[in-house]
Amino acid sequence: MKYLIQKFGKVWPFTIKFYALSFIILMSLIFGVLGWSMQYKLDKIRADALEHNNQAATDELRYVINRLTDSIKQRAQSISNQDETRQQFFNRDYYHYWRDNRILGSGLLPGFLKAVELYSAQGLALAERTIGGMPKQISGKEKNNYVAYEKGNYYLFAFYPVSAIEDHLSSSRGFIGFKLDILSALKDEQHYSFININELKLSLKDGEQLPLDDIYSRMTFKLIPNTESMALAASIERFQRQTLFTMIVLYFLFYMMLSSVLSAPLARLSLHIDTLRKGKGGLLAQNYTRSLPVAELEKVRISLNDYQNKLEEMHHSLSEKNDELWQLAHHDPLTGIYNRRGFEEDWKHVLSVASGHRLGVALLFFDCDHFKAINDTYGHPTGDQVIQAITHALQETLRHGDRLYRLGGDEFATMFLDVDSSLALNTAERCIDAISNYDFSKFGIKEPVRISAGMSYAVGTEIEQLNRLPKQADAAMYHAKRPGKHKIAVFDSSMSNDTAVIFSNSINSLVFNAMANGESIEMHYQPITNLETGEAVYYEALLRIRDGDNLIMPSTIFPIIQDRRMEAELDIVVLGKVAKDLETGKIPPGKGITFNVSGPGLLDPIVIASINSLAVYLKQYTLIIEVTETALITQLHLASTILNKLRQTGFRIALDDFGSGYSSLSYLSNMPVDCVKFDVSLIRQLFEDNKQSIIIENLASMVIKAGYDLVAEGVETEAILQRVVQLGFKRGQGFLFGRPEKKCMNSAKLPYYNNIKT
Amino acid sequence: METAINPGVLRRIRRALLFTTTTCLFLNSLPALAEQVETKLPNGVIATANFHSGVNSVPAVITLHGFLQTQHSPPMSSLASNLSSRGYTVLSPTMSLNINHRSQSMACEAVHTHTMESEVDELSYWVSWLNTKGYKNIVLVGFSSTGNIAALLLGARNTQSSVKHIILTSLNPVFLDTAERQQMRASLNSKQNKTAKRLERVSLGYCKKNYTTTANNYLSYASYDNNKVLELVRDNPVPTEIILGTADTIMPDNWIAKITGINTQNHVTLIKNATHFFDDTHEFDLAEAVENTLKNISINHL
Repeated sequence: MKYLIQKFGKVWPFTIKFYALSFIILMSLIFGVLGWSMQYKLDKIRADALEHNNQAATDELRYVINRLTDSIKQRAQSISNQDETRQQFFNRDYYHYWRDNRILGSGLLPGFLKAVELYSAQGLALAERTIGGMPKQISGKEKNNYVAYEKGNYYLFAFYPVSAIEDHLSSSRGFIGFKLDILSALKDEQHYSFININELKLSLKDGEQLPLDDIYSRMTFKLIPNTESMALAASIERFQRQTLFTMIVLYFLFYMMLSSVLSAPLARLSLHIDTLRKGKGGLLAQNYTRSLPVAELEKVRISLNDYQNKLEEMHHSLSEKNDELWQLAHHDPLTGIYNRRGFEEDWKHVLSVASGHRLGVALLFFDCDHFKAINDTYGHPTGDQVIQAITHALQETLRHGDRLYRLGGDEFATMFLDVDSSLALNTAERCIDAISNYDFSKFGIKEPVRISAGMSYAVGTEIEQLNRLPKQADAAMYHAKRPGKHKIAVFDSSMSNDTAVIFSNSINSLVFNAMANGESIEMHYQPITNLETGEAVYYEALLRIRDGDNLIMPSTIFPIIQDRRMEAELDIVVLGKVAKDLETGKIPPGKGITFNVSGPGLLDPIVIASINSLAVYLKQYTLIIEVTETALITQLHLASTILNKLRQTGFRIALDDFGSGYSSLSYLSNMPVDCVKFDVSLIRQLFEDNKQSIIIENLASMVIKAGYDLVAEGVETEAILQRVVQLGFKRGQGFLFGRPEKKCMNSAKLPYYNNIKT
Repeated sequence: METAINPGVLRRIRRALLFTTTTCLFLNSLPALAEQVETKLPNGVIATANFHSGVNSVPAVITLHGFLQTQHSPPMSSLASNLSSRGYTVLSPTMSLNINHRSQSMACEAVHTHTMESEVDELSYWVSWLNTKGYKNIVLVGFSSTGNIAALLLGARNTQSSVKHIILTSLNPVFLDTAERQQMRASLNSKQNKTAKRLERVSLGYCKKNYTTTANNYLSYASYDNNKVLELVRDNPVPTEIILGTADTIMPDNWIAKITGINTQNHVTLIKNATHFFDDTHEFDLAEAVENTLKNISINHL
């Protein structure tokens, strides 16, 4: 049952053709049953009619035989009544003449009467010689009529008494006998209505005498075909055939009409709808233009077309909206260039195109330096103008067809397919130059606006490498943004750590945990040595985060912090640690501590408050605040004000990493700085035989003459020591004097100073 | 609209009415005595007749039918009826023609064993039969050929004295083919013994080539041709009345003239426009003529 229901479910609903065929089959069955019923009744009527006709034929036969015998009897009576006949009983002289001429030869008797004889009352023939096989004598039995078979013919022998006219009441004078061909007699007798008289048969043995009354049992006959009933039956059969033919034709026409008028148009319409359905939101098919012959279907077609047109309009509208949405989703509203989503999709596309092919893929990330400071200083409208200007400048610089993406904030990206790394690098440099040369002063910005660029490069066959390009470009970009670095950095393996740090969840967790509870944070102190004495005069507090036996270095921590814009929070933590170390006496009395404050931190009131909280230690310690020139430049006025207040409190200000950034002397002169720390890159330049070393020597000389304490970073060798001393540096910091330690260690005892003393 | 009535027709109608009225008067005074009688002839054949017993004051009448006919044949049947209704004793025999109990006219084709003489004998037998009934004044009324010839032959025999008068109506000779008669005579003379019973088909009377009989029997009738009949009339000893219809087309040419030309005591009555069988109202003319004769006979001779 379940199987049948499932089967039924597969074929349900049925097709119109199925219904049409079902209707035709049903009607055929009905008409078949009616036809069979009619045929059955006709057969029954035929059988009844046959039975009736048989009975009527038997009755007709009895009637005809009775009439025949009556007729013969009348003839016998008529002949018997003739004087001549009776005269034969009186005088037989001319009996033969009478029999042969007056009776048989009279021409008045029918042809089937073959013989006639007269018999005496005793049954003896009057004739000496009877004719035609008439008996010589008839007995009582033979006086009854009987039928006999002689020589292939059936004869009726009939005998009737001849009365004597002289005494009517007396017994018969004799008998008159006839012999007649009974079948001929019956044929001549009348027109038959039921019996086919030509087919009437008698079955008697030769010589057998059968009483006439028993003749019916020996008779067989065939019926006259009933022409009316046959014509009626033929008419009915013809009508049935015509009806059947008409029904078949009508069914065929009905089926064809249903097929052509309903089924086929519906199938085409259904196919059309299927085509629409399978379009899956693609371009809609054309309207169903072929008109349908059924009004309801035509209405459906028109409605469908109208609905289709409206769908198409809606589709177009949605497509436009989709395009708009796509535009909105993939473009940056401020600049009109592609956004991060657009970048990610294009990057996937580039990956799919380049993967497995020897195509060079270069990915460039740009980041505006100190953009937050610009925003904070000049307001967001100006920041937006700067972004738009950068966008414009970059687009002008890039090749036609290169796409520029704004990934967010001040971050931009572009990608090159099928290029070599030098071309990409060249393009990146031109971009940086274009920004450097752009006149941002029209937006009221006094400071120079720079961008940093990180580039990563790979060949398509290096699929894994290809996938790491975004991270690598990011790492390179951060690397480039570091103070003292070039504004453009091409990723190399040395940046892997940074990359690992930036994107390592475990290190991120350690940094953030350290930021939250401060337990893992350690401050290590590196001595800054008096170059004249070789004694440590103060220590630089350097941040370390402990990870078991390992220490996470600032080079790992800062990218994370900067990436999350958590510089101020870190400053607070560091200041807390420094305060604790000061409190606990970890710092040798009389010495000083220099600690770094970030650019954002310098502008943060909490950070400033934390710094001011250290003012209590100014009596015992020299407290120096290290700031980078980039931190000062972005908010020069505000920073100067804050730093001045801190100087007034008693803090000293050191400009860190001088030479890695703008290294502008005009800026330096305006900054409230007590101490300048030459970046290690400048120190290393001193050993180059070029103009830059001379400039640096003169720069150092000028700074010293301007009254600043000049500190040389990166004093790692005796040669550097001698050189910086020679140039007039008063302070020095580097591994030569001591590495950063958890405790404040004295500077290493250098032979140099032994020589000086001696 | 006026209708013209033929005076002759009016006269016949008046006569018929008068005859009928008279008959009715007689009927009132007479019992109905008609009966069918039979008599066995000497040859064993039973002959039949219709007998009506009338009054004794008038002669009894024997009506004799025509050739091969019966007592029921016209005009004798109607005449007998008319006469019997007027009180005459009328015997209307059917000549047996050697047929036992003959009651039907004989066909020409039937075997005829009778002869003219046998008929005269039979007529004579009936006269005797009437005689035995007490009728001594008998008038024979013959018709056509054989009826008249039998009456004439019986009269000529002169053996029946009771026959007082003979009335011959529509007297004709026996029509025959003289060549055939000659042939029969010749044949009979040469092969008489062998052919005595041989049947011949001959013409006789109104039978044309189909009258079946022997030569002897044929010749018994064939003798009575025109002349023989005229001779019989002329020589007949019994008073004879002859009644002829002027419109009788069966009569031979100039027959009336020949009859009337016979210089005898016989009286000839012509009924104008009457046919051989006295059709229509002429049967009354015939009856009237016969009765007139019968009246005269009773007045003059009885």
